[in-house]
Amino acid sequence: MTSATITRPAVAVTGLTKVYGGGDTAVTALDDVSVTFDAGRFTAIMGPSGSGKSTLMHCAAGLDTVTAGTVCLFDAAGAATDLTGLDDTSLTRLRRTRIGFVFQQFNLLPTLTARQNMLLPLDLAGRRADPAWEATVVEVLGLADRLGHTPSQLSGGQQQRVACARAMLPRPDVIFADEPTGNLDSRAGQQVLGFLRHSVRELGQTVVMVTHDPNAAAFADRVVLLADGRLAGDLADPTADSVLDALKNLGA
Amino acid sequence: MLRTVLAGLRAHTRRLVATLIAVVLGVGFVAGTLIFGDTARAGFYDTFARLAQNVDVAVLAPTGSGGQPELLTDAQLAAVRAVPGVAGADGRSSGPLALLDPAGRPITNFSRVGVGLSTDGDPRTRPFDIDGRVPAGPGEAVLDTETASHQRYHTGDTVVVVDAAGARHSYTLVGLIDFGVSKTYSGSTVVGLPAAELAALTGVRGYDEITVTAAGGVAQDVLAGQVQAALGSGPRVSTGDQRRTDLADEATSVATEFTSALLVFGVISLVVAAFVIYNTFAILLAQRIRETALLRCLGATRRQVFTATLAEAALIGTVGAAGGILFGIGVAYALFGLLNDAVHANLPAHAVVVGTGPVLAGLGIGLGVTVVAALLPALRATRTSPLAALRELPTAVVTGRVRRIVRAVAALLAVGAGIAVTVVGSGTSDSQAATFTIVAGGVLAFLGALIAAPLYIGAVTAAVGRPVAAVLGTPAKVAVANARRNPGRTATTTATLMIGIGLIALCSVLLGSLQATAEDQLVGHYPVDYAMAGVRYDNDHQAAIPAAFAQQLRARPEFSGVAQAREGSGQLDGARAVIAAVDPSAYGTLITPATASGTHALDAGTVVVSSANRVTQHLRVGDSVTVTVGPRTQTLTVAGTAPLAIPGIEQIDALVSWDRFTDLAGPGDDTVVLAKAAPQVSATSSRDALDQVATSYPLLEISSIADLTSDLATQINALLALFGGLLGTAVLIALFGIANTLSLSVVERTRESATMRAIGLTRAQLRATLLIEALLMGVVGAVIGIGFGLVYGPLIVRAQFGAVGPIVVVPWGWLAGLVALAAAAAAAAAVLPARRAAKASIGGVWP
Repeated sequence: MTSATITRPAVAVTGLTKVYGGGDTAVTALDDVSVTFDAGRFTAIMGPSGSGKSTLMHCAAGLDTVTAGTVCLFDAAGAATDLTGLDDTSLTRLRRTRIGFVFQQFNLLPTLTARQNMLLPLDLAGRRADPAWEATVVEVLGLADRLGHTPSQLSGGQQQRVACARAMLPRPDVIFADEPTGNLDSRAGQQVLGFLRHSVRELGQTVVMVTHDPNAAAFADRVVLLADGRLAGDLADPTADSVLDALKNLGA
Repeated sequence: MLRTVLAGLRAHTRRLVATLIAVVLGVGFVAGTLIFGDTARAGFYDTFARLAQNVDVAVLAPTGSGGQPELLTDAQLAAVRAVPGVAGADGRSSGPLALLDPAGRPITNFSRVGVGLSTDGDPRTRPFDIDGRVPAGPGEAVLDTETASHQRYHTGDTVVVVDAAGARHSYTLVGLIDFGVSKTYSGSTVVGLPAAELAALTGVRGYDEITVTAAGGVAQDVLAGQVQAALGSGPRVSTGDQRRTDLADEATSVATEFTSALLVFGVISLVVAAFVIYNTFAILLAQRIRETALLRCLGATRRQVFTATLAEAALIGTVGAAGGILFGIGVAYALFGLLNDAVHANLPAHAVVVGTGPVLAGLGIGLGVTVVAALLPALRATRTSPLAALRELPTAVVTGRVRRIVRAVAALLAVGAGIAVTVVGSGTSDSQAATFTIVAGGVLAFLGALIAAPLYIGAVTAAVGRPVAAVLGTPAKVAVANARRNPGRTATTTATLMIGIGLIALCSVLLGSLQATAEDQLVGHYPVDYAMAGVRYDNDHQAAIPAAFAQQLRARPEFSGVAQAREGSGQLDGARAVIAAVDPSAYGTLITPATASGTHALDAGTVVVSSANRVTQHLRVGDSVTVTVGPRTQTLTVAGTAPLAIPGIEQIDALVSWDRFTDLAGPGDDTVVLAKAAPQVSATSSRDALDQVATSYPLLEISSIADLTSDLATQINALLALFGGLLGTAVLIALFGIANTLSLSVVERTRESATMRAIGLTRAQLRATLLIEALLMGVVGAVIGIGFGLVYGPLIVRAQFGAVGPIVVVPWGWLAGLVALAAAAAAAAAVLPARRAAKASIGGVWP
C-alpha cells in the first residue's frame, strides 16, 4: 500500500462556530474549529460526550446550519462548494449524490426492499446506478441474496451493510458515518468497519466517522480529537492503545 | 390512573383535534336535525292554530263512499244553530276555481286550478288574517298574499276567474288574505268570495266545515256533545282545542317526515365519525405501545389500561358532544335555509327551540359512539406485553394468515348474503318492497366490502398509484409504499370516503335517471313543441278541450302539425288501465310510437299496448285483450307493443284507433292537443300564435316542452344539491379523518422523514409524498364508493320505477368530477400534516 504523495481535501471546515439557543441559555457547541478531511482517507472524530463531535459532523455534512465559518466540499477535480452559502433545496440535491450517510440506527425505510433502499438517493437524483459499481458494492458487502428483503427481515449487521451500500452507490465525495457500530454486536461491528476501511483503501472512497469506541477508531487512518467544542488533538495511523492514551490526556 | 389519562390528553391535544372535530360534526348533524324538528314543530303549532282561531266546536263533513268528503248541508247548519248554547255557527265552503294571471292564462299548481273560498261569517273565526276587508257584495273579492305577490296583484286591481263552463268573471280586489304556513292551500291560488257568489261560480252547494262559537259559560266539550247529538252520526264533531291540535299535528307530520329523512343523513355522518374515532384510537394506542407497556411494567393491570383508554374516549366524546350540540343549533338554522331554498319547503320561521331531548340525545350519542369506537383499540391495548417497553418499535404491521382468512370468510359471507338479498329484491314485483330489499342487500354487501377492505386496499392503491408513480417519480413511489404499509389503517381511512362518495354517486344515478325518465314521460318521443291540456279540478275532473281549438290551430301557418288525443280511464282484461287515442290526421305522422314489437298501425279491431308498463307486460302481438272504456267493452287484438308516453297524459297503457275510441266512449272533447311549430318559425312567434288562438279557451293550460324540460332539470339539480349538501357532512368528516391519519402517521414516521431528507429528499418532495398518499386514498375511496353506486343506483331505479319503464342514466361527467374532487379535497386535507412533516428538522435521524 503506497500512500498518496499528493493529498487533496474532500471537506475543509474553517473557523466553524455553532451556537445553540440565545441569550442566557446560549450553548456554544463548536468554537472556531478548522479542520480538513483529506480525500481517499478514513478519518475518525472522537471526543467525550458533549465535545461537539456530532455537531461538527452535522455541519460538515450540510445537515445543520452554522453560526460562523465555512464548510467547503471538494469534488474530484478539486472544485470547492461552500455549503454554508446554499439554500435548503440546493443542499438537499447536493446531499443526494455528493455526500453519503451511515447512521447508528441504520435508518432504512421499512416499506422498501434492501435494493430499493440502496438505490433511493440515485432514484431521487433521477440517476441510474452504474451496474458494474453496484455489482461490486453488493458483492463486497455480501448482500447478493438479501436484495429483495425488507429491513424487518434483515439482521442489524445486514441492515447496516445495506445502509453502507446506500451511502456508496452514488460514489459520493465523502461518506459520513455516525457511530455506525453503536447498535451492532462486536462481530457485525468489525465487519462494517472492515468494509468502510476496504472502501477507502481499495475503492478510493472518503469516510469521516464519529465514534467513541477506540477499537473502532483504530480502523481509521487518522483520528481528530475534540473537547469542549475545540480541536484537542490529531493522531495519524492510530491504534486502540494510542487512541485510549490520547483520550486519557484529554480528561487530564 | 385518571391523572395519567389527563396528562396524556394534555400532551396529545393536537393529535386529538381532528377526532374532536369528527365528533362535533357527527353529533352536530344529529342534534341539529332534532333541534330543527322541534323548532319546525313549534312554528307549525303557532301558525296552525290560526285555521281554527276562536272556534269552540268544529263540525267536519263525513267521508263519503269514494273517499271524498260529503258536504254538510244548509239543514245541518240550521240544526247546529238551533242547539242551545251556540252563539253563532258558520259554514265554510270551498271549491276549485280557476284564477287567470295578468296574461289571461289559468294559474295552476301541477295542472290543478286554485281554490275559491267563502268569506262570509263571524270575523273572529275566519281561517285567515286579512289586510283590507272582506268582499261586501258582487264584484268584490280577496286574494291570498302568496299569489298576489307572485302575480303582482294589489288591492284595487281587477282579477278574472273562470267558472266551470268557461265563462270569465271580473272582481275588484278589496283585501289580501294570509293563511300563514297552512299546507291546506299551499301552492294554490285562493280567491275569497261571498258564499252565494262562490256557489254560483263553482256549483258547490254545501260546506266542508261548520265552525261554532259558544255562548258565554258553555264548555267546549259539553257543546260538542250537544252538537253531535243534534246532527246524529256521520259528521265529525270536535272541540275547538282538539281541532287546533289536529290541524297542527297534520302539519307537523310534514316536519316529522323531514326530520326522519334528515336523521338518516345524520346517522351516516355518525357512522363515518365512528370510523374516524376508531382509527385515531387505533393509531394513537399503537404509537403509545411503549408507554402502555411501561405502565404494565410498573404494575398497571389489563383492566386499568382498558379503563384508562375508555375514560379518555369518554372525555373526548363528552367534550365533542357538547361542541356538537352548539354546532347543531347552527345546523338547525342552516337546515331551514337549505330546505326552504332547495325544495321550497315553506317552513314557518320560529326562534330556535333547544329542548332537553336533543341535548341529551346529542350527549348520549357523542359519548356512546366515541366509547364504542374506542372499544376495540382499547382491548388491543390491554394485550400489550410489559416486555414491549424494552423492545424496538415494530416498523411494519404483519397480519397473521389466520386472521386474514377469518376476515376473508366474514367478508365473503356478508357479500354473498348481500348479493342474495339483492337478487331476491330485484325479482320482487312490489316496487316499495323491492326497493327496500335491494337497499338492505346493498348495505350488507357494502359491509362485506368494508370488512374485506384491508385485504384488497393495498392492491387497489398500487394499481391506482402505478400511473401516478410513473409520472411523479420517487416521492410517488414512496407514497404508494406508505399507503400500503398498514392496510388496516388505510382501509378504515378510505372507508369513510367510500361511504360518503358512494352515497353521493348513488343519489346522482337515482336523480339523473329520475330526470331522464320524467323527461321521457313528459316529452314522449314525438317532435312536438307545445302540449295543451285542460286544467284539473280534482283527481277525477279535468276541463276538456273543444275540438274547435285544434281546428283553429291547424289553420295557423305557424304550426306544421297538430295532434288531438283523447284519454279515458278504463280496463284492460279487467285491470284498471288508461286507454287513449290519437286523431287519424296525426297518428302515424306526427305521433308514431316506436314499436318494440309488431306494428303501430291501428284498425278498428286492434290495439297497441305499452311495452314498459307492468299491467301490459305479459301481452304479446296477436293476443286478444278486452278493452273497456266507460260503459262499453270490446275484444281487440294486440297489433304491437311500444312505449306510449304522450306529453300531458301521465301514463298510457293502450292506444286504440280514434274511431274505436269514439265507439267505446262516445263522441267528446279532446284531452290533450299537441302542436309542432313550422320550420323557420321562432319560438316567440309560435307562442304568440298559440296564445291568440287560446284566448277563447281560458281553461286551457299551455306547456312549452322546452320549458317543462328545463323546469325539471332545475328541480332535479336543486334536489341533487340538497343531497350533496347533506352527504357533504359525511365527506367532510372523512376528510378530517384523512388529515388525522396522515398527521398521526407523520408523527410516527419522524425518523424516516428525517432520513429521507438527509439522503436527498427536498422539503417540497417530502410534502409531495404526503399529498400523493392522501390523493391516493381519496381516489381509491371515491372509485370504490362510485363503483358501489353504479351497481346499486340502476338496481334501485329499476325497482322503484319499474312500472313506467325507467331510463337509467349514469352521469359519467359528474362522477369523474366527484373523483377529481375527492382527490383534490384529500390532498387539501394533507396540506397541514405535510407542512408539519416538512418543517421537522433533519436532526430527527438521530434518536
